[in-house]
Amino acid sequence: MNIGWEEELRKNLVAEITALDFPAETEERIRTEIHRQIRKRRMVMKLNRKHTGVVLAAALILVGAVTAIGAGKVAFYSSGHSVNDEITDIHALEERAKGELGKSIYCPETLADGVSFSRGIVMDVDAWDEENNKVGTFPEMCAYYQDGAGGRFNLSISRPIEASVYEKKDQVEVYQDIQLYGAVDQYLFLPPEEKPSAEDEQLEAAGELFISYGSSEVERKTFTSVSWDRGELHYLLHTYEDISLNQLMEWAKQIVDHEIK
Amino acid sequence: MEEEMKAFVKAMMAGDERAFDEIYHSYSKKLYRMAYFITGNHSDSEDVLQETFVKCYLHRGSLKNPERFESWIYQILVRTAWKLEKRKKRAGEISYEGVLEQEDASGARAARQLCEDFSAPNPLEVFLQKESQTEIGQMVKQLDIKYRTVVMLYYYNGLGVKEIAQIMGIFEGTVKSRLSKARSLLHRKLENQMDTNQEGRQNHQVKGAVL
Repeated sequence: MNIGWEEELRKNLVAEITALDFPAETEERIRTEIHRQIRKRRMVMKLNRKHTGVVLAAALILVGAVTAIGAGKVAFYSSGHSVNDEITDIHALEERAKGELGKSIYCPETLADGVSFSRGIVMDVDAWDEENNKVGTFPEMCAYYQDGAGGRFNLSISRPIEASVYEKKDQVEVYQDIQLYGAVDQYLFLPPEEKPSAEDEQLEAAGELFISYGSSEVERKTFTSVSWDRGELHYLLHTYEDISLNQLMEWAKQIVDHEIK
Repeated sequence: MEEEMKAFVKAMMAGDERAFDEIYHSYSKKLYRMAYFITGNHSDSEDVLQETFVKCYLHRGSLKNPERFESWIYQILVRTAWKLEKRKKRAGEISYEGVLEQEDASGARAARQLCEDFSAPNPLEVFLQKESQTEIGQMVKQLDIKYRTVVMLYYYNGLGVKEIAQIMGIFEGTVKSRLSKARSLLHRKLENQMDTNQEGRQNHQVKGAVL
């Protein structure tokens, strides 16, 4: 093989390809479209009770952090955060959450059975309608906990833009005059191009399966949660791990106690 | 891979969208150029680039080792570009298909002999030094998409046969034979161009002499 010929060919090709212009505005336009496509295909359902789907104008006026961008039925939520934004000190997390949510937040550092706080984040959650238009934004604090056996669960506190509607209730308890709603839901996570089976579609229609699109692989998970509303804030204690609803309910009561104290 | 980029890739694998944006800014120009080389037009290149990064983020779980990020994203780009080309062909749209598929045995032998001649100054090498890069680019673009891709990955991206095979999802032997065929096709094209240029010069001289 004549190396001279090939080297000249390589030089010419590299020069030819490198000469192609890629303007900054084209780069930015494509980046915006990439994110729009990611959101559209992800269709991440905020893992919570089924909402009414109606944006309440009154809720949007509450505090400056809750913004109204357009009226419309909420079809899905999306949020994202950088690992660099995570906070490992519980008091720092409470302060940041207070600043964003406009209300004092009290998160326990420890709970019974060896449960302890590990890290947390305060982020904005965007609400989108069926046409992929943003209909609102609200702040949410998420605290990550770990029990003595390594099991993990999260506590989310937010000022949502919709009224909470608890359609599926596997367990309801009244504690300290607060209604705690417990539920165990089955979730199916699918990659964007994947279609659910007919059986899964039937289960979804019957309200026995939630299907979420946008994961990197097919996964079936059990989502256990306890949620409640108190003082304009919505609380959600949730886990995908093997933690019973009764146990989660006990921890929810401890969190309520900690806040009231 | 640089440590900073490796950190961005790791963060993106964990779902960090800001790290994903950093990766996009670092790689978008190169990937756009690669897409253009394969597709041959700006509109398709933008579509391929966009789809590549969407898939990159949504399927980040399939990337197990951040060190392999470049090969992994090249693979996504190549397959996305091919898919688009296939779709356009089915729809009867104009495709950037090569015209240099046919090759007779004598032509191949001549090209190989030319390639293997180390002793004399290679006329092709001299010719290439003078030939404008646009014309070379045009010749390469006339190759079939599968040859165009292997030429790009080998000469522009500087990848080895093994890595190219992984990216294109073919055997290493297939990469070698496509590379070899692409070289001989280009040789023939360049030789023809050389002959055409030479004839033109001779005619010009004759006309000059007559005048």
